Amino acid sequence: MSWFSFHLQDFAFAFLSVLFESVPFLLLGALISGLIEIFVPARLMTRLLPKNPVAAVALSGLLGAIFPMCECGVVPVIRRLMQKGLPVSCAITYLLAAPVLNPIVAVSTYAAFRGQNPAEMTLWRLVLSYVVAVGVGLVVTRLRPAQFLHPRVVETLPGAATRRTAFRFSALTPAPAPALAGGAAAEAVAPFSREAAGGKGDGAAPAADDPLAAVLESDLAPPSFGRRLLTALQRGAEDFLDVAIFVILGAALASVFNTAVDQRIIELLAQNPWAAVGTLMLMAFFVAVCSTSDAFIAASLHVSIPWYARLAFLTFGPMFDVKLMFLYSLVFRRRFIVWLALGLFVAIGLICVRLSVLSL
Amino acid sequence: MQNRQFSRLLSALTLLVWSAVLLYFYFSGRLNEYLVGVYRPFVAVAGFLMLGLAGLMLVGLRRENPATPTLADDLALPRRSRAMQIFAFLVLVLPVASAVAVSSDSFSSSVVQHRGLVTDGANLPGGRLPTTPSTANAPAEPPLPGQSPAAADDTKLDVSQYLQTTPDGHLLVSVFDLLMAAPDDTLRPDFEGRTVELIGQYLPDTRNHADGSRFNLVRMYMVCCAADARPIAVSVEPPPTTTANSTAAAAASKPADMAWVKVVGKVQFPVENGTRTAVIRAESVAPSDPPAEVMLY
Repeated sequence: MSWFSFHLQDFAFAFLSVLFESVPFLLLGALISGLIEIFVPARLMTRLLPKNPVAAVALSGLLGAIFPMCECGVVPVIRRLMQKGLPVSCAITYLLAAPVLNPIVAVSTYAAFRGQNPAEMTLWRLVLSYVVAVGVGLVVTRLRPAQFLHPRVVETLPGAATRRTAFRFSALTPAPAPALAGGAAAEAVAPFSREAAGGKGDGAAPAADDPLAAVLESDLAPPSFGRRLLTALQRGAEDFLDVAIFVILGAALASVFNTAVDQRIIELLAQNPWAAVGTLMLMAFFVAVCSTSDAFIAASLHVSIPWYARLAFLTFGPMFDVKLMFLYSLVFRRRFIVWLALGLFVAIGLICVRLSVLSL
Repeated sequence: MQNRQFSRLLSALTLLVWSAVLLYFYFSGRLNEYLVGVYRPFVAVAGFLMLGLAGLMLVGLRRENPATPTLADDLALPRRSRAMQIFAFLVLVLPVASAVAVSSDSFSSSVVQHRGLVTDGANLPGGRLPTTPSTANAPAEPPLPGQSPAAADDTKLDVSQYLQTTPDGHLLVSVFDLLMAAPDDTLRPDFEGRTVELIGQYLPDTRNHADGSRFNLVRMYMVCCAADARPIAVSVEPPPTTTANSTAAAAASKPADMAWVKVVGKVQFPVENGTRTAVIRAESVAPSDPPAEVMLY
């Protein structure tokens, strides 16, 4: 049998199963992002996180324990959190860490590896994911958001942040809300005002010919709770459809790999430590399974595959797979996505090969 | 119709189509072949949510004065041309609708061969159970009050107490049961030498028994969704044939690849290639309807 044979029925079956698995969580993430946009005051993030960049990034890596999100749902959420003033470096740390550093994944990893040193495997997974996510976050603090964020996302950030480094609380003062009553209501609609003002986020007065600015200026009373909730839901639905296109592309590619490619090649390649780690990360990229259940797949791989290669699979997959590659293009520039993929691949690979001296 | 209204109409239609697909799969039971139980309710919830969101968008569209923008105006999203909106709508709807029409809710033998058959229970998720200390040299457990010492030693559970039997007295088992029993010293004696009945998909063993002396009885074992399902199999020796005529008849009636068959036979657990493996010496192999749930979880 050849290493590649495509059957449309098999592809359709796998494609739908990946969609059914990911769509509910994607929708949840999108609705949360809509609620964040409308209800979370812009200054909240600056109040919650430490002022020190390193401490803030380190803390962001642990936020998944309080706000667990899977890798599909977290992308629309961080897009909104950045608009609400979460420093970009913290957002990226949360993006990479939250799908693994949460109680659900810890329990599922422990359950999947029972009989195979579950405590050690779970601990290594959590620690390695945290270290890598924080490492990326710290690297990103040195960059300007415009260097790696998608221009469309940069336009929605608080103005000065686009010109400075990726961690700058001082730059996150929201733009003055026009004519609306103060407090959370004013903060809640502040992003609209920035976008309406020409998308530069510089707090300039709303353009006279902008339709939304006209609404805001004429609408002196703060919007009612019901109206804001409806708005949040509509924004969530729009976010969902925006992201769903990329999930469809990712699911299609993952399904081709799942059904048309002979996966026994992986077991053959996995005999050498370097090849094993690299191959398992590539497998994680193409299989694109949810972080809540990937441990069961890693645990059931052939016994010849070493534990550190399984660890590489469990760390790399939730941070970068074929589905996420498309989703990330909503937030990041293409060049950054390539560098992120390479950086994660090399960093996780080197650490895991280095861990081969240990035996579990 | 203004661009904004057109965009919202397409969004509502997309949500309606997706909602219909999710709810149809959930309520028709087709979803059982795609996802494990724990994920299925989320699909139903997502289907209803999408339905509600589509309704909200359509109602808003009807009430909305096209000349008056609202807070929910799609300003944060890029302003797409009408052609791009239609393209996005097609990308969101066509692949899903086509997949629904094409999918047969099961995999072909090609996928089974690409993924490789698992015939060792220790290679299944959760198959490597915690090792229990050997009981051979362990001190005997004291009898319970009022219990004879002989009864205290008889701790083995009769397998028919936790597995169903047919009217003929055959144990109703699954491929998974036998795979898990093979490497387990405490479970194996419950099945060894017993006559069992099980359903699976027929796949010739072209790798190890190309002469047709055995075939694989396959089931797909799902951890999360069908995309990660792994084919698990037990080896089956077909019933012996005595004459040339019956051999020819047997060859003629050989099931098609991946056809559902019911096998009745005795279970043995020989060590083959260094691994304890489940093998069924079949007394009969007959075509069968698929089980209520095609996947094992």
